[in-house]
Amino acid sequence: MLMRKVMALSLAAALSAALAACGGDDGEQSGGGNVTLWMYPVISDQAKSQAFWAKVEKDFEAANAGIDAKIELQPWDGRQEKVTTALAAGKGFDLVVLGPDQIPQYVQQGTLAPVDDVLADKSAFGKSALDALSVNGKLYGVPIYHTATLPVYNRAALAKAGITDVPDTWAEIKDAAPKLAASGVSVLNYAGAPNETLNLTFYPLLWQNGGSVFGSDGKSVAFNQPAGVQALQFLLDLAAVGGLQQGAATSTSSLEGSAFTQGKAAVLPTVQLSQLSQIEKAIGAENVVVGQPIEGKRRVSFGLPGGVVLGKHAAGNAAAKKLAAYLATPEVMAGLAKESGFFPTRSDVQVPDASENAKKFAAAIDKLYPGDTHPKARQVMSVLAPHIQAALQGKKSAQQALDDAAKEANALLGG
Amino acid sequence: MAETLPDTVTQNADGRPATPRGPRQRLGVRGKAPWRERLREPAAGLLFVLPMLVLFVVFRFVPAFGALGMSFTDYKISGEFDFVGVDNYARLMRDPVFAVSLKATLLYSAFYVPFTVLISIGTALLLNSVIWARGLFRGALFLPYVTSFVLAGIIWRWVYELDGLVNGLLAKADLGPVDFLGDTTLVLPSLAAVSAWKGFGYSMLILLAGLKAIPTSYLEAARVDGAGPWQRLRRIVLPLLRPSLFFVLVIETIGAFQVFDTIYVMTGGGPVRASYTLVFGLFDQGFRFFDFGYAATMGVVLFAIVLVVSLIQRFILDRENT
Repeated sequence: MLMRKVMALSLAAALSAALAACGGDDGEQSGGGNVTLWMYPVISDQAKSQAFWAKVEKDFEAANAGIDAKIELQPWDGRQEKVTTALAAGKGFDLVVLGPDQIPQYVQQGTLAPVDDVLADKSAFGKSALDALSVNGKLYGVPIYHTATLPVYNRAALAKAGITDVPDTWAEIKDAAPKLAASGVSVLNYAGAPNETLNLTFYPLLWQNGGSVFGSDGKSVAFNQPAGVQALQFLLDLAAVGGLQQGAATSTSSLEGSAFTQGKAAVLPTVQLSQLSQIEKAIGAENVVVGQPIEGKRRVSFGLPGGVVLGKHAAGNAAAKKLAAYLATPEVMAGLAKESGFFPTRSDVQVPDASENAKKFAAAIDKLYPGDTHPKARQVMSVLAPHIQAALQGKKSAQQALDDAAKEANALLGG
Repeated sequence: MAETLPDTVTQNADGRPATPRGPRQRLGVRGKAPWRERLREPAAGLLFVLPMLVLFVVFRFVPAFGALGMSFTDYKISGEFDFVGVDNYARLMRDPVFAVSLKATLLYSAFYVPFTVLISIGTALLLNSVIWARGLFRGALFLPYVTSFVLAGIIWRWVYELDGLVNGLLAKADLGPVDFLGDTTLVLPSLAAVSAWKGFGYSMLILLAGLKAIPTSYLEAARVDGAGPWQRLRRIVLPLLRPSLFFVLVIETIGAFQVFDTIYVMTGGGPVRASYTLVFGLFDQGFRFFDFGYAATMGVVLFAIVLVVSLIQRFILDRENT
């Protein structure tokens, strides 16, 4: 028993020292009337983001005298590492924004507190958003926005190949691939680098074909079932006829320098509304066509609710719960939706001055899927990505790649 | 030391020992200095190094021993854990991904260490022979070392891209395109070249300092005796540079085994895990898979490997010295 205590103290000291050495947050303890929220660039324009969150912070403090709120803007890069470090140290933030595929793993690690009591009335919120942010029947994230991705087409590139209607089914994309390749353009811009999230690359194809990442019991993976193999084979077939851009297996999702923004690819399959302005600058606004989700066996694209989650170390922080509730009010949510291009999760919020393209994204909201919520979702993604890359490089067949990945992933799941 | 000084001990004319002088005058009744006197010097030294020692213990030894302890647990982010004995080590031995990452690390080191050491020696020799604007050249060559790894990684990604700078030059010679970062055989030398470019400045300075410490009279004498530049380098410069060279070799080998930033920014461990090194795997296990016990196990094994490699290097260089 004594040995165990000594070990516990030693490990705690070691981890604290290691985390401190990592140069993380200064770790100001919050409690009582203090609350720190880590917010991410959901508003992509940095100046607009700073102005919006500064106003939210000021308005919240004005409405809640005595509470000192701090909204810290963090970059997307290194998000998981920083959040993990902060949760391990129990410092850095009280509230942080996470997605449904990230929350279960932290719940399993015992580092998040439920927020059911934050939302007094849940009826205004979409059920799918609440379900996606819940684990074992408890709500762990207050949904403050919903992302949406849709395919975007280059009208000029399609026209050059004699294609007048945008190809938005698997069959049409397959038909278009050789025609576009003949004019030096790939049909798809695919980001196959292993550190890219599969939520924006392979998984939408898997879902479109009726597949899923995990089996129904969650104890094994299902991506190597026929639906998954066909989805990967679809990519390989496209690659075989020049339907993927050169170097697709190692491409990143960065728009800067991508085949699509250079006019060398006709379809960017998963684009957010906030990225449209950059694309319009690159290929000309007149050439940008926003489509509906691509259809395989079903029409689906990726989109998820962003949830404000509460660290377990801040479970007793009333100020944190008040701020989380404030962020979910119609006023804040409408403002966030307007500035970010994402969508409100409340049915009683209307986004003011929505553009035509914004309306297309809003119309697709019921065709969006947030991904499988599983404690090992991110880990399985890390295991699967290199095998998909191997298939794209011609080193493995679709079946072999997915079987190899399934073997590793099932070991990870303890199967 | 005082007792050994012969000039302070003499004999009187009657043969009795004379009264000791000098340092001996401070000796106590038993022939030794008082304990306070004897401890003063080491205590002063200890006080000077104490702040650094405390920092070293807190930020190096405690985490290192903590990691060793953690490797026998299933530590969770929340701080809860159970002891699992040597399960993590047994799992490591069976883990095919660990074998892949060990191979990638060894291959990377085999490219990186010679690249860096050769470039460092070359540039240090060049700088040592430059008379005009030496500071400017030294600064220019050191510049990559102080450049952000993220920035360097992004720039080199562009350089290596299929329509990037290198392939543009190859195309002029009707060669390529070569997928430097997408080819499983080329990715490690390509990454090692980037790291060597980024890191050689530090070793160059160490070796330059070593070169400055070589007395010019040795080289002059060799020149007078008819030794050419190659003979002077081989017979005089390199042997006298051996201590600096050993330090550089050890430091660069450790650096190679700990490579992470370049890979994180440029390949993410790919393609097909060809650049999935030990530290990248450790990062994955800790920060993506939350398997801190297993990550700590990888860290302990990495430490052991680096220690063994360093000892081998020391043994080889020491043997050559003798």
